[in-house]
Amino acid sequence: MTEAPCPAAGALSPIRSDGTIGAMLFILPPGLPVGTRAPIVRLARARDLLRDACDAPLTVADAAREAALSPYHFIRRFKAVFGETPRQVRIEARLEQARRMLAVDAASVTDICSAVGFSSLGSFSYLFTRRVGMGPSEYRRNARALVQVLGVLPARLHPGCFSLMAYWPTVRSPQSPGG
Amino acid sequence: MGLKIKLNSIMVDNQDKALKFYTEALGFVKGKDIDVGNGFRWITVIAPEGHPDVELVLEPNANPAGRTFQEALFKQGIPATAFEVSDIEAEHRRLKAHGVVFTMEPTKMGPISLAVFADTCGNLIQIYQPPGA
Repeated sequence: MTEAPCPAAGALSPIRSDGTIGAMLFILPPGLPVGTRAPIVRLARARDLLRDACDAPLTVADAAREAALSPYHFIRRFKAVFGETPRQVRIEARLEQARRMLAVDAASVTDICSAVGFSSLGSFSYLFTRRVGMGPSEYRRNARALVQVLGVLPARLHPGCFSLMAYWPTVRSPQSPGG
Repeated sequence: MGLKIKLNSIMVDNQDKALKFYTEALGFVKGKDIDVGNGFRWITVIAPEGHPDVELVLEPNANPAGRTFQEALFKQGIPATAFEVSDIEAEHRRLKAHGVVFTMEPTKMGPISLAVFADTCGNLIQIYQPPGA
């Protein structure tokens, strides 16, 4: 497929003048398809749709259309690229939304269950417990104890940086000063 | 020398998946795997070749800002990081056999060869073969 190459590509060579590999290594090589119709981008967009589909009942076939693939190839390709099936991604997104709501919203567990797109409280609780390690109500109690500013998740609930180190027990070794 | 580079991190959307891919498909060796609570772990992997003292942290991208960044890179086709290989064709064949999807097949760029694949955790990863390897 022919896509417009990234304008920056080629302007910055990955090879430094001395022939060694420079910091520009990650600059896209010319001709790499990065246009909005590139297969990988369409796949990523299909994933966005699956994640956003809490209220609209988007089917896997709908998402496959977004990726311009047959449902069969879509599921195979999706799993190979993202490591999860489209269905798993959708469930994951719904459970994540539920976690956020349980921590900061006042709605009941039943209301949250249907707000994130589950029709059965039983399967919601089952999937939630399996994924999070505790039931929705227990999760809520634990999370609430940490929420200090109303409506704002505490940093502990969304790490994603080296701040994780702060909770790493072995960091504070006996010889480290002030540990 | 007071400072040394010991840790480098890559954001992953699921740590279980990441540990599996980085060890089973890429062939890294598990370094640390420590439960830090709230369903998150401190996981590092070490390359079987190269400097044994450098660990790659498989870091959860649970921070929305991290996820936004990771997904933007992915959609723009930009690799999150790069690993060096001595034989890119062999590595490409080996990874293909693992079902890894390449967004760029091995391509010569002057004296080096590059390829890009999806790591199943939300990243594109570049491998390159340096000149003379």
